[in-house]
Amino acid sequence: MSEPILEMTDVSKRYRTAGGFGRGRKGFLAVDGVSLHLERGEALGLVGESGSGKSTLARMANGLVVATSGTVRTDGQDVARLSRRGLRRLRRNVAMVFQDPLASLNPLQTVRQTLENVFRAHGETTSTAELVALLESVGLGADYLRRYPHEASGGQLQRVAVARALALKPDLIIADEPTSALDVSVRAQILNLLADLQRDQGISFLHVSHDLAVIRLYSDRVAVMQRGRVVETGPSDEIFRSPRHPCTRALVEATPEAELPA
Amino acid sequence: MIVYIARRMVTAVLMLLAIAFVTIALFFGASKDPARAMCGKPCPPETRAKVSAYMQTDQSAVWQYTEFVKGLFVGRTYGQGAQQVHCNAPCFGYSFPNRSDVTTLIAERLPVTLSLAFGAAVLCLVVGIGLGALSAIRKGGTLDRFSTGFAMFGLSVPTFLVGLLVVQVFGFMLNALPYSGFVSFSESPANWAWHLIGPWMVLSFILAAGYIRVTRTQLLNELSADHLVAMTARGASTRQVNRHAVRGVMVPVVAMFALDVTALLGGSVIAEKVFSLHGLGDLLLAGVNESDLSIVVGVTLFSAFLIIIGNLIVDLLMPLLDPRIRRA
Amino acid sequence: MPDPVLQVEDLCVSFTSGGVTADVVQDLSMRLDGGRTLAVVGESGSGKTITGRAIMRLLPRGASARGRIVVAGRDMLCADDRELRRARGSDVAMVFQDSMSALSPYLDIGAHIAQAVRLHDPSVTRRAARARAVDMLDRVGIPEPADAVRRFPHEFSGGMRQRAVIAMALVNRPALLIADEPTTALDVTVQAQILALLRELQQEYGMAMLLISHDFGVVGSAADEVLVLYAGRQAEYGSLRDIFDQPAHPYTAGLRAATPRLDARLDTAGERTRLRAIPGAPTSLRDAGPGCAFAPRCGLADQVGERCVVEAPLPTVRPTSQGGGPHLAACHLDRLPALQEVTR
Repeated sequence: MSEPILEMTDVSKRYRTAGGFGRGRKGFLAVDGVSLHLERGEALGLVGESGSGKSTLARMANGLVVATSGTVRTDGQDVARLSRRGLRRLRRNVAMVFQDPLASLNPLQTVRQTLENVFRAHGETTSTAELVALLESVGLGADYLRRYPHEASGGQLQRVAVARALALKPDLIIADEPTSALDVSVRAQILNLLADLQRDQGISFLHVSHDLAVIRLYSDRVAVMQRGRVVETGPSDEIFRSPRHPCTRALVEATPEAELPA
Repeated sequence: MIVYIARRMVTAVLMLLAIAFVTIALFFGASKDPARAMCGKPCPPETRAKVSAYMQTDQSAVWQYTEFVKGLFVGRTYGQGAQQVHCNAPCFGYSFPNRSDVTTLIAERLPVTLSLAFGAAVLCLVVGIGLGALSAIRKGGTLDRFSTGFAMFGLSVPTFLVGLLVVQVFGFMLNALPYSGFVSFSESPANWAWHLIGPWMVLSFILAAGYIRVTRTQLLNELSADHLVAMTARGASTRQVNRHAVRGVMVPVVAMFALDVTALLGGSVIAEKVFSLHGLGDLLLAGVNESDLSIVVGVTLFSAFLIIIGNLIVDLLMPLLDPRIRRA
Repeated sequence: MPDPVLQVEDLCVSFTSGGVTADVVQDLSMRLDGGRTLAVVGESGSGKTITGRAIMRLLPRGASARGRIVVAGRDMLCADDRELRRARGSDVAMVFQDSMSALSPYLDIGAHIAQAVRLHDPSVTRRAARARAVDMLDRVGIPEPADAVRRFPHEFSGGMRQRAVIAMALVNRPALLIADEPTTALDVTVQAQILALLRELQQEYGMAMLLISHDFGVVGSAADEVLVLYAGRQAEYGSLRDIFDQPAHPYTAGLRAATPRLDARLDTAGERTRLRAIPGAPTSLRDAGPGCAFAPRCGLADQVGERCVVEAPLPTVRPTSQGGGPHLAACHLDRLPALQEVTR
């Protein structure tokens, strides 16, 4: 079996709290001794309430957040030991999709410029045909190249954001609440798109969400987080069918079902 | 809260010391020797050296600086014997061309500057907030368009031009207002105001522009804020809601006002020049022209002192206006 | 039959800007009795929030409402300023999505609630109003209410703040509560608590609730009746059971199929079930043509043909389950085929 795409061992992140004389000098422990791994081609869901540390944890995978202790191995490399250049090379292989597409795209750049910048940042050039193919792979037409972010809907923009993530053919995509800012009818389109990428291109996914139902449908395995710790982990079907940890149980019970009792 | 106040105080004192140092250093680096101006013509080198030693300008900037700071607290003595002059604490330096200590010079000029600043501040607040609020409430109306244009004009036109226009139009053409001079308040309050209307108009015209803009945008933001919609939803009348909206406007306006007022107190060079008023700005200008180091440093530091006090007042006032700062 | 707490007939809301007037909400009708909850479901551009605001006559500048809105016997569209003020906060109150921006940052929680009390009864002293605030905070489950009244909005957690907003809305025992996405900004466990609290208070006070939401999960656990809006028009209206068990509008059916569910199973091939997405993006009435606004995204429009593009369908009566109220759907198709065909 090949090496996992992501392996975290006893990872912690402590944030220093601002302006602390005495009180609070210890700071805030956002992630507390987490170990998890993500196999190649697998989709791992990180669920938890706001403040549980799931976004912080996800951002450690590509070095956006540096762990205070523990080791993060992404694509076989120890993220903490990478040089600036090594980190850049790693990040071309680990793409991100954020919650709010409008905020994550530069409003002053056309879709073409946005996509071209990704190539340029890694010293590569690209052709129009390539860009069109890229857009088509996320279900958008060539006419989007000329558009500015305000000229597209939320769902279309999120597709652009996915295209940007795909541009350099990454092995791992970190999707941080990729659909929670979208309308319900559009949400399914993006989720299906991500699922197709996993299936057809073998891309691994680290999928962060507060929505259990989304995670259940689109992740192979799940890690449930609470106050910086992973309290339960396992195959998503098992976890949601028979949650063991009280925190998971509370989350499952609180999730309202769009279904009436028979 | 006590930590907060203490921290601001310490910062203020450090800032003042730094400003004094920078002023002295800059003056030494850039200008001609003050002793040269004092020793008259012709000026043989030995006389010049003597004068320089007497004025204590022959020493290094660092020495000057420590003497200056010491003088602030215990006073300072120049020269010896019959030529000895003493400058009492707080000593902002001694102006040899004027044969007077700078503290006295500032104290002489202060009433003029105070009067100017006081009236301009009141006028610009009334006009700025009034026009800003009215144009926000009737957004897009005639008044709004007028005051937006007015603000634009005020922000872009230089003070001296407005000053000259006011002098020209009201002073010479209409002969309605005096175009120069100052009458002290204790002498005749009516005459005092009469002589200051011109400069007040000029200064407040320039300053009001900022207040119109800040008040207008801030009030527009406030008026569409959810918590005011929520207040209407609770059954509050438009008047009650508007009154509440004012609170959100006060925070930036107070911040701006404290800075403007302290800047005004430091003297308005141009307005004072145009209306021939002998305030602090005029004093500073004279100091620069005559290479009078003591005046330049003294007035600069005094102005800086006022501005820092103003900042301090804002810092201390903000928590009262906005509970979020108080409990942070 | 008792008089309904809320009755809306042919409500139209239009915006005027630059001399052009355009409807954003068209021909909405609804009826809501005390103790019942009507959920208004829709996506962006559906006009659900503006409908809630129109009922309280809280429309933004440039917007105007036509039709008839009766709240607790008072015609809101005919009421003058004084009458409106008397109705707002006393007959009808509102809970907002973002509790932080719904509260003034400059006032403590007690001041907010006391203000709501004293606006409607000036004879209450300040002290008595604050005492009412303490009671109300206690009632909505805020611990140490005597201490909490003195705290400012930013000192509360999101859930506690929303409880405070609910306390503020309910302090005058309104007949109708309009809750605009009251739990969208909250975590699921907190959401469940807030929904339970609303339900409990509703039963205790016997008030009617208009629940505005985009989430079928929330709707399913809170509503008695459902109004589905699409692009400012009524797509479907019916009892919760009718809407969930026998949806008659392709949009309702599609929206339900696009909502992820926790009880989803693996299909026979062992693959994960995929959601059935509705193609395209939601529109608003302004961008809709003369026909059915949903037609461009509808998998069934081809079956009907030309009619969907040229003629906007009117709500017509559909079959109901036993005990259900009226069931209306605005679709040219009389009967919806199996779900597979509804969404492409």
